[in-house]
Amino acid sequence: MVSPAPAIQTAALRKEYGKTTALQELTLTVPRGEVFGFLGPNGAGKTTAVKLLTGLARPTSGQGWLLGKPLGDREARRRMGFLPELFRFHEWLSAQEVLQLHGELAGLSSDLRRKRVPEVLELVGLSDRGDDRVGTFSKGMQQRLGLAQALINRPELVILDEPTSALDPIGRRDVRVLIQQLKSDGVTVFLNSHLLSEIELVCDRVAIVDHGRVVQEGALQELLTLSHELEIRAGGITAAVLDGMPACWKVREHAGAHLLLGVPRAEDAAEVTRFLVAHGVDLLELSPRRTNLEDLFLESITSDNGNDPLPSPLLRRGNS
Amino acid sequence: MAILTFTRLSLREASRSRVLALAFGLTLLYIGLVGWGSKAIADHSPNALAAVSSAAGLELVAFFFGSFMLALLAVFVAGHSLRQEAENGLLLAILAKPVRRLDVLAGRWLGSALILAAWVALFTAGVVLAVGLAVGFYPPAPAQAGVLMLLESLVVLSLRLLFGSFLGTLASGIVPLLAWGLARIAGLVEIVGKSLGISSMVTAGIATSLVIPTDVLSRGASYFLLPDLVGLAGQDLAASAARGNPFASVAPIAGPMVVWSVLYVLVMVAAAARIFSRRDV
Repeated sequence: MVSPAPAIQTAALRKEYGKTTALQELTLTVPRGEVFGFLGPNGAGKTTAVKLLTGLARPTSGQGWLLGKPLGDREARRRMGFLPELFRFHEWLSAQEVLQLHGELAGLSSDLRRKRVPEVLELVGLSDRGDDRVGTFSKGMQQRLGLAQALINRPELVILDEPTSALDPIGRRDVRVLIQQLKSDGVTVFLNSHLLSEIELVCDRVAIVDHGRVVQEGALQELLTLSHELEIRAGGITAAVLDGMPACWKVREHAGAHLLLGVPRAEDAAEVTRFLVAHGVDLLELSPRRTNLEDLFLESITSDNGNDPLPSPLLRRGNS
Repeated sequence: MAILTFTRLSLREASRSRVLALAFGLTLLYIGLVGWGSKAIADHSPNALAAVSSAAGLELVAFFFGSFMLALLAVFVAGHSLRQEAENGLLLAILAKPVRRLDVLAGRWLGSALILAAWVALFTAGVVLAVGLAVGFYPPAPAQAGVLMLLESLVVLSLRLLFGSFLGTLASGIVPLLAWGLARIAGLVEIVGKSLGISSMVTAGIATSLVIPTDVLSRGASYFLLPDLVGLAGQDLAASAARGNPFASVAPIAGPMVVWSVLYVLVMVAAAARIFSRRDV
């Protein structure tokens, strides 16, 4: 049996708007059935990438495939669902009418639409507002409706661009549950979000983009364990001790009795303990620190640029 | 078919639009005023010939201003420009669906054209009946007049969609109206040139008609509304009444001009579709 093409595959996708390069070189693969997080600071090219994937804009160069079809292909778009970041619906239509319209455009028969519209309304928690005009909806309700239209055609791939930006904590949890449900149904979800905690909770894989290119990509759990950090409190950490450490141990922070050490493997903790004791250090405490997505994110976009691109000193990490 | 989905959407939007309901209501009022005016003319005319020619004149003027109302309606009925709707997010989820952009544009064109056709039918039938019932004068071919009037509005509509594929709503609405006004002035220049025998003015008018064929269609429509003045009053009077008259044309529109106008509409819609299809949103 031939395995199906990846949900998304791009090769050196580039987009220029006049003299501005919005996306430098996007190369990534999103396997089927996964929840894929697409992260990056503002202006990194995330929304441009999404527009290229959905056929709303054409790449300046490079190639891409959606569900095995070239970008912009109508057949692929028939099997895809998309919630844009900035969107509006015809305000004079009711929620049901909006979904009828989008179902019709997605190519659903009228019988199927009659069945599917109440289903997706239920799915996003708008069942009791189906007859209300969209113009009367709050931003959060419109976002729920946006999700509903993205799911109307039972897509194989859903591209969600900031799906929870207007939602309250309850709405965010609902979307998280919805994404997990989609995943269990075998749907691939491409999630573009600023909310790192959200991505960390639902995504299997992530790609971090900065300045229009991917700077990190991989399975989330692997990326998070790529770098292990040990938080150490000890007396007698001298420069000589630090200099004597193996090169693969990185001193991240050092101030007095406090030492933050990056090591390649979690198991290295034992060796670090032995090393410190052997070098006459009075070890008071040694505990592994789990890297979270925020650390990874900040580290990725910092290291990519050589110098610190983050405008706020609050966001800078202490550096040794 | 996706085109018809967008056509229905345009029609549904129109049916829920208060402004459009107001426009149709005011049109009925306008028709009522024309009828009332015709009756007043008939009541104060010394004889039937005077009554008919005055009422026919009023009818021509009514159509002359009606064509302006129609041009405004053609600009308005197409709604926001497609570029604007793409930018404000209204079209994003729609264009990502498996639809061609041509479908979006052609569907909107068709929906708008149907509304314009409804207006032209109401206006033409209303004015003709209002004058007819008051004075007993019925123009020789009101249906042909209506068709040319509709074609005139489709030229404006197509220009509106063409400019709307790359300009905002306001700009893409103003440009076709300015073009319509320019064609009207050029038409007057042509009429004056003709009556004074100045060939360069006539040439300028004809050239403008080729670039913006609205006024020539409007004058073509007026031909079908003229009473048979020759039969009523004799050749000389008819010729002198028609000479230099900005409201009416004594010669029918040339066949090739009608063909050109239809082609013009098709070319403008095709160009709009091409621009809109290539546009990044």
